[in-house]
Amino acid sequence: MEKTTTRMIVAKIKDYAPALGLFVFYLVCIQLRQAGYVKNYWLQVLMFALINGMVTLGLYLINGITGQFSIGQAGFISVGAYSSGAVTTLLFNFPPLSVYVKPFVFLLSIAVGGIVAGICGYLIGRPSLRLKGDYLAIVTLAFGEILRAIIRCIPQVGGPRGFTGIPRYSTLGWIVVFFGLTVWLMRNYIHSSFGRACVSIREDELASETMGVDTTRYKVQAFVLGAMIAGVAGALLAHVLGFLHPDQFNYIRSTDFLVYLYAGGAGTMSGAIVGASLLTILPEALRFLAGWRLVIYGIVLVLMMLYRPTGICGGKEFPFLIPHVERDALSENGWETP
Amino acid sequence: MEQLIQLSVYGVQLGVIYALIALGYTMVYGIINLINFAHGDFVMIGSFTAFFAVNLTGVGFFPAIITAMLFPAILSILIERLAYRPLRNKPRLSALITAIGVSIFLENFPRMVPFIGPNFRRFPELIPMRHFYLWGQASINTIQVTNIVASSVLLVLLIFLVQYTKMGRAMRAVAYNKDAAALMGIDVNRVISFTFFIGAALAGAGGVLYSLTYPMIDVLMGVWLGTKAFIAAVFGGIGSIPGAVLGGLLMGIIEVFATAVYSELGYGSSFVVLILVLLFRPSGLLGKAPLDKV
Repeated sequence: MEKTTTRMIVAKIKDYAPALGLFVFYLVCIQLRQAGYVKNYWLQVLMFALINGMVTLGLYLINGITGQFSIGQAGFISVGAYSSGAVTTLLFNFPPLSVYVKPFVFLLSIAVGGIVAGICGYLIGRPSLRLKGDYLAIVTLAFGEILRAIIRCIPQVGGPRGFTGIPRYSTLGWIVVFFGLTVWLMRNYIHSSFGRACVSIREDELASETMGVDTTRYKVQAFVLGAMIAGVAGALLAHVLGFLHPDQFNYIRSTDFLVYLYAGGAGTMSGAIVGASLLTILPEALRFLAGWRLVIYGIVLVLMMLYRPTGICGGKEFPFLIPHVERDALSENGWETP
Repeated sequence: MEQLIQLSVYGVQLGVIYALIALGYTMVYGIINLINFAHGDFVMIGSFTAFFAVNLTGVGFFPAIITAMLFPAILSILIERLAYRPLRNKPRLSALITAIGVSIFLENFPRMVPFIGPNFRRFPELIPMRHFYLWGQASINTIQVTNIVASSVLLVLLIFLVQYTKMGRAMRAVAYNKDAAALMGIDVNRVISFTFFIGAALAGAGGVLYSLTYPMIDVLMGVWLGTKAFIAAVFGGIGSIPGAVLGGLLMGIIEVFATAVYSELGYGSSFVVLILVLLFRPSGLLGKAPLDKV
């Protein structure tokens, strides 16, 4: 009895430790900035790193877990960014907006961004997920580019000139909160029966269908969830930048997220997070080299894949990203716990 | 009618260039299942090679296009050896990420080299411009004729190479089954290098032909030209050589007609058509459907 209670308490602490860790991280960042050690510029780089981390986590669900190859994430980001920007800029643009109302408008716009991106994800995923491998990749790429072409034709959001004047509501705090929520959601999804169905589809689609897994349903579900996360990330991004341009979201931007995912290690959530944050910060850290930084970035990518083809994390997961129930089960059965 | 003929001429002229570039994508994909993201950059390298060949030595069209085919071809063999070969038996996506890395390198290295730089350059006029009237006001000019003739010659050469030579037979064998081909005594590495060589040479030629028509070149021209060609390859059925040609031609024609209708449509239209084609024929117009293995 005694032992079980201690274990439960330890488990509870372990459950909340990551959230606490994220909160402490946020406090440290804010304190460092107020003390003048960290410039606003680096804080913004950090915000981009977290936003990219969110998108990469969504892609991890589609690509790493379900094994569906999508090069259209930038399209979903653009939809999320533009629709949420439209909510805050076009719908609620009357000037005397109270300070107390602003957060609600912001939250509403984020929800709109996520939902619109999710709907686009459904419209794209439903017909095209029966394509396999590279063909699916091309269709998602094409859809991303079509979304961009449509945005270029809407004069209300600036068309080809870009969407200006979006209020800069996103702060590090908001982004940390949504990043934490994404990690929490993804961890729980992946370790639920939904996640296991997705893994079975990745391993062998035909076999899992034979075992009674509704493969279409899970593939579409994962795709829509990944798209929604990208949409929320886009909504946050729009309110960091204050300015959007359709060319920011071309397919080359989508390949960036693939690079983050595979450079970090496609098999784990840790890989997605580490890859996105390292590779967002690396080109910024190399900025003193001016244009040479991208040359070096290219070389680093090639070398990394040559010497570590499984990615930086190489199949290892941070322990807090595995639910304690699962870790306990593993250790009780005599498995080595990560 | 006049306008229709005129647009078709433009469409075919653009289409043959897409087809040339698409061939490189399709051949590399057919042989090692790799989407070579760096392929578009060989187009740019070809253009710049011709640009420097002409401006430094003052040679004419033929020496320029031959240099522009050889230099990217040799470069692509080097890249294949250094970056793609070590990953051949690793997960397919690591090779894809490597290709993205190579592409980032190939775009940014010339940008930073002082004598190339990020600015647009004016491509020299290699072919004297003359117009021939076809039907009323619809005309075809010497550059369009050069494009169509040069691409057709290269295409015939390629088909001859693939169908009737020993190397071509080896390429088809490796594309069909790499391991079995190796057991039959084919040097798979050499065949793959050769495929990269041919693909990049065609891309180089495509770059020169494109720059003749639209004579402003810069280091990023390969990015979207490559994307279009890649889509053309998928459109026709990736891995199939006739498919790449058909896809390229259709892409060029559709794009020109859509742009003529409304200028913002040009870019998106090819993607819409691509999706429609893939939804009804999931492996492209001339591609073979993959078998599900149980």
